[in-house]
Amino acid sequence: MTNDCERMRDRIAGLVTGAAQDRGSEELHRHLDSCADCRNYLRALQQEDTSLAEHFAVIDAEMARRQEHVLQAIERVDTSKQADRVFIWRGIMKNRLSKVAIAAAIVLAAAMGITYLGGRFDGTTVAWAGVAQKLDQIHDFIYRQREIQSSGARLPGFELKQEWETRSYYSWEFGSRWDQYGEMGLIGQYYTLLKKQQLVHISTAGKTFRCRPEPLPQTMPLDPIGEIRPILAGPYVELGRATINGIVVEGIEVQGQKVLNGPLLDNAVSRLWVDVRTELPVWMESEGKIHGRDLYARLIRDQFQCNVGLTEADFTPVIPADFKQEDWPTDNHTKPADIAIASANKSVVVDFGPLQELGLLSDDEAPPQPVRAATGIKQIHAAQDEVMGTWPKYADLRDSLRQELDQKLNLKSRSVDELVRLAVLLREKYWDVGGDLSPTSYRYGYMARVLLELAHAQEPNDLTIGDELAETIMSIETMNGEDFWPVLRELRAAQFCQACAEVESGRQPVWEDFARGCDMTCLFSNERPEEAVPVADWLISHAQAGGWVAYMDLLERIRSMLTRKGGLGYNIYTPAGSTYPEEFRYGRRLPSFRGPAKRAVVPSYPLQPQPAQPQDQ
Amino acid sequence: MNDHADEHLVLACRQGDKAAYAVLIKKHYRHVFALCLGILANVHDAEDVAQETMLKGLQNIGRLARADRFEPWILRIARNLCLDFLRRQKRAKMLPAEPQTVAEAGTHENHDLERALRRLSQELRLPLTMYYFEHKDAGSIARQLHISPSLAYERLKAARQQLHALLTEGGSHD
Repeated sequence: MTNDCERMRDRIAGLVTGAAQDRGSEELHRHLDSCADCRNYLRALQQEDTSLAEHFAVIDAEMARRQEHVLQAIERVDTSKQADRVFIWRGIMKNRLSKVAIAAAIVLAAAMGITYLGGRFDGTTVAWAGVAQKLDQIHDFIYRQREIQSSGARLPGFELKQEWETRSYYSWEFGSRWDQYGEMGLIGQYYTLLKKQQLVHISTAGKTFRCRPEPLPQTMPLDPIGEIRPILAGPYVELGRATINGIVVEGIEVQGQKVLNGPLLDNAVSRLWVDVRTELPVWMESEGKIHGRDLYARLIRDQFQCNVGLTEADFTPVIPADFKQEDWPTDNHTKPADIAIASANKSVVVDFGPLQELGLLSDDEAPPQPVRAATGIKQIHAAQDEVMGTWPKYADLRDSLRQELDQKLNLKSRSVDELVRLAVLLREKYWDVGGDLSPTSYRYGYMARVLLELAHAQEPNDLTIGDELAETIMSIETMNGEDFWPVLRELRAAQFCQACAEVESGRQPVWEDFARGCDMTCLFSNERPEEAVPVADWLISHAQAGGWVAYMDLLERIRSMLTRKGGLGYNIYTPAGSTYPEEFRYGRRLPSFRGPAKRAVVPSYPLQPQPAQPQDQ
Repeated sequence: MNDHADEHLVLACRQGDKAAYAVLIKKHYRHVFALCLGILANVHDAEDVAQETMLKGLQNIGRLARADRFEPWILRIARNLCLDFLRRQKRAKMLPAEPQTVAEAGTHENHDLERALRRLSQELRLPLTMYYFEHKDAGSIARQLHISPSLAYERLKAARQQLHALLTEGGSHD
């Protein structure tokens, strides 16, 4: 046997066991053609292959008998003490938190009383497409949500399991109320009061309360299926039938999505169980490993009660006389854009009439593209890349679009303000027809950019116009877009220089300065990180005056990463624990990015801005 | 991977529902038996340990921390019981051997192949059993054994080569 044969015999073994690289190897087949010994070797292995298959088939033939023996053995086992065994498990949980949590788990297991009915039987089945419509008919509801964090099995004394619970009340008419429970019982209540246009937070533990007037819509932007939608959108797997608390339910499951509020989860799995008779939710859950931590989380929403006739009394805060009132963070330290979007969430109706009147809507416009079902950020980004990759380049269309706009609008006769308002409307139209997942939406986005570039050229020192231009470029470009980085770098850098000069001259730093500065650190981080270090320094030194002290840790991290020249990455700005699946659609945008006004979820921001500390005199 | 159906069955078992455990047996017994066979290389021993595994699973189901992870849990019990069994067997071999009956010496017709399989190292026999008995591909084998797919391929190939050597060089006798 030659050295060649020795090498080839390894591959022949691979060929027999189905290794793809060996199956298709031309070198191996050439060798087999020329070497009788190796051909014999292959034949021998193939014969043994048949013998092995027969050998195991004989063993397999008796599988049913073996299984039956096991089943008979199981019948003889006394399972009446199973519940006690759960308590044995509790016995090994040494720390106090674990004891409390595991006791809760036992209650949960008993309360659920889940039994498996062994597959589907004839009768009512859930029409999943109709569940959303059913939920649209709800005008008030109550549910319980729990978050259970667990370390999984560890050595006795090292386990961790803790649980929090919130009971939520929602009403179209009166607003919402969340009662939060911890180890010691009720720890706090949050009220959103529509009639009083007020937010109230009561801290039971701290014996304090805070009230704040809040411009709220007349009716609750209530979307009882907001978090159920991603599950219903699928792709989901039907779980069949079971009973929960005596209710016959059917369930579906989606992989890769966390749909309930809670920490960011890796490989999340979410499930929805609905009552087969009412098609209303009975049980929702998301679970997975907490991102970056050696802990598992399970978020459960259950005890749903729909259309229970909640009254104003259910939304009237009861504040004990000895509770002390505290100040709420003042409004000038919140992010205006977020408040505007939050209050307008879902109830935004954009009037595109002006675009129609000006002839800016296409007659042969393709119908809005359905948002593709995607189960995670990677699929969504891949879909964006695929769709946006089919668009013509902005640089190639800019001149012809400008000519067209000039003919229709007589651009010279328009004020800067008019141009900006039209551009913002066009940008909303862009999102309305499908945004970055539509093959035809780009036309509106590109027109918006043309108009804003004109406005910006006329008023280069108007920071708001610059912001709208940046927002539009972010809307119509992926992070990989050819001119995304240089154009935005230049724009944000010019704005930052101007903001610095204005603040030097006595203007108060504002939230927008923080957002623009953060954009800059992100935009410069990969190629020219050293140029963004002074930006981070400026943001740190003006945090007190500007009211973004809550972001000091983030800014210190940004500065540290910039000085290490390691590249910042967008993830540093992504708030762990409050990122919604829908936000992934916009996830690779810069910190200042607002997205469409009409959206299913409120955009989240890393932290709530905190009140500025009084400056030392 | 999480298994929601298993989770509900496990919860039902904790309530003393044997019918639910019967469903779990029907679903997982084959994998448990294959693992035992791969480690022990003896059908009778594998049957015994697989049965003991399923009984132990029922008795200890309250200790299963994550109800949706029944399969990895029951396979871990099976593996531990197999290793215990081998340890006990090793100790027993130090005692004077009892004469083997013909039936015990070889369960099936292909005694040479059985002996050769028994002489393979456990590291090679287990993936080979999973491949030929459970019809798993290298990727699935890799996942269950927590090794890389390429290493699973390497072990399968090595198993086939060593098996051939044992069968052709008269090395299949105990």
